[in-house]
Amino acid sequence: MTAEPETQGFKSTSFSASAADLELIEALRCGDETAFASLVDQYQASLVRLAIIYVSSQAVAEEVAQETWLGVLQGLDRFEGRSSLKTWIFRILTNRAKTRGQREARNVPFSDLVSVEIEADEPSVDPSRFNPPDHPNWPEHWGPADAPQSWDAIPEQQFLSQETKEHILKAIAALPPAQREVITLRDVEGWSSAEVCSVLSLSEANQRVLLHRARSRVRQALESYFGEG
Amino acid sequence: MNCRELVELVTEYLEGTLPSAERERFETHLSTCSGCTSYLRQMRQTVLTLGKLTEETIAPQTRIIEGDGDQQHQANDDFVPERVDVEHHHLIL
Repeated sequence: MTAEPETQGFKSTSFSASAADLELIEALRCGDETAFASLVDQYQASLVRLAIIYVSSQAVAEEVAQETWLGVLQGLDRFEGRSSLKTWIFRILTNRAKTRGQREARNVPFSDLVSVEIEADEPSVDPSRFNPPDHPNWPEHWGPADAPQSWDAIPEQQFLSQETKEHILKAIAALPPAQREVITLRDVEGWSSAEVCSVLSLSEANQRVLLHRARSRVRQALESYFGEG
Repeated sequence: MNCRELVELVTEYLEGTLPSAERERFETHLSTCSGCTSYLRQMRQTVLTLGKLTEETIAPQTRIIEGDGDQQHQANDDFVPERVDVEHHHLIL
């Protein structure tokens, strides 16, 4: 990934359509149904997972995904290849999902939410777990009974069990929306930082703040969960 | 660097965006602090586990595979997320 200088606010994508992307677009324009079916196969689940952040139910999220595919087909002629096919598809999705979400009166405009979220202060760890600044020996270090424990003794089966996963999913669902978007795309879906910034119209810095907070909350949720076991 | 500071820098560290001087202080602190070492490890494990959420079915996508005659098969979603972030992958693992 190239290191690009920070620009203010929205950072334009560092990706343009690859040769494979352009070939696929051509195939779609020619009405190649197999190409379309495999594209749907590739992204459908991810589209729904992202859509559900903005709307009220799985069913509505699936509708939004359908609308997205329609939008993709309708927009084929206009695709100029200035972004990758993937980021283009997912921008269509986020636009549709946010519109739908607002129509459902589920949330306020996302741009407002992001700046509010970023500006609020949010420590990653409960401050009471650290010694005070005037502690004689270990100021601002983990308190004696508060240091995180090792998870190495937890068997992998338990880590990846359905129950643990559901707990993580609940933790993600409880995140503020912008944090949820970023951690879903970065960590659940495995997207690069540049792709996420592109689709969500975030600066690198803001994206990192949101990712940091989201991960901190999920880690805390897992720590609490394992602590009870 | 103290522990309270370190936990706020964990993401930047994993992203590889900490300036080198700060990264050195980060790693020096880690080498003497088991609490922070555990914390970083927990964070790595959290991220790893997040990446595995889609390996099993969260929202099962069933698809009827055509051409199987009378039998209908269901394919579960085994989409593995693209790991484009190769540069950071080694840090996470």
